[in-house]
Amino acid sequence: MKVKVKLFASFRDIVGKSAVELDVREDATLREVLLMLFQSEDARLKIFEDATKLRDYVIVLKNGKHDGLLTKLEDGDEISVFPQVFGG
Amino acid sequence: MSAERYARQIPMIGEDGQRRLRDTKVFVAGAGGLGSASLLYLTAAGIGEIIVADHDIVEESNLNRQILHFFPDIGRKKVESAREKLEKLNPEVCIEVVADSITAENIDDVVDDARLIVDAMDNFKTRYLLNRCALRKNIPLFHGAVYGLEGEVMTIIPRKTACLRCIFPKPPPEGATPVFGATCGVIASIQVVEVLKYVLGRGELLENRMLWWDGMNARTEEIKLRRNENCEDCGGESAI
Repeated sequence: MKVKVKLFASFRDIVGKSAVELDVREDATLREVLLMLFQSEDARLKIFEDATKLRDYVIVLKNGKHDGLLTKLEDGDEISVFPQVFGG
Repeated sequence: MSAERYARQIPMIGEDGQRRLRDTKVFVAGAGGLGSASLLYLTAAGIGEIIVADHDIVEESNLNRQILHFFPDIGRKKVESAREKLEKLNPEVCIEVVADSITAENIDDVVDDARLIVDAMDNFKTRYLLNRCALRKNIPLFHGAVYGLEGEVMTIIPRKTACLRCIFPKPPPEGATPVFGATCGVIASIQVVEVLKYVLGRGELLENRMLWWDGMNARTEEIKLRRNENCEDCGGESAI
């Protein structure tokens, strides 16, 4: 099945693309998709606090909503990955 | 109301539209980078009453982006510096200033009977107060935030769209933000366009979508948003 991932700010720079369409296995999880995109140790440290938790400033939405990292994805899902910016 | 002053916008919105702007009271939270630009454009457009709250004093390090404050204003309260410039720009607009911090205790009073809230804050602690106040008062919140050459805007309509907490459930680690003044100008300008459309009842708002401006690559993109039914601020039975 196919899922689309949109990447913003430093996450776009790490992956090198602003949007990626991935072929993933049935029942793939959000975490698996992020690990496919963020492959190096350095890259993973930018997004994951540990194996089960994202860093506090990392926002990952599935079809516009927060969901657990172990959520199973469905064909056509759209995932957005962006930092929580706070300046004013 | 001076027709001459608004001669370039009345052809778009009519005298009735201009009166709508004049009869509107807005609350702007912050007179910093975003606040400076949004206050200037709201005042220039002829919004009738503007309440601006900021507890800070003008510092030299503000001057690269906070375009309402000038070199001689260093050491003055930002809201006083802002009021002086805005009243000179458009004496038809009533500018009310609050030189205090926005707190859980005072927010309902300082927002008063404003019809909407413009988020020009630099921290999520206060943004969450604005979010909850907007939900309690059932008025829209126009969110903006910046970092470097990037920024985001979303328009929050209580009980209709995702609220700030639906998308940002926890505050991020915060510190001084690197930013160009022009980034604040872009993001605040989009916020003001949203405000004007809302007041005039025109166009499509940034409802359930976040506009992301990427200045480095000269791109504007959208992030789809949805309400979280378990949101502690706007979802479920226990929410506001």
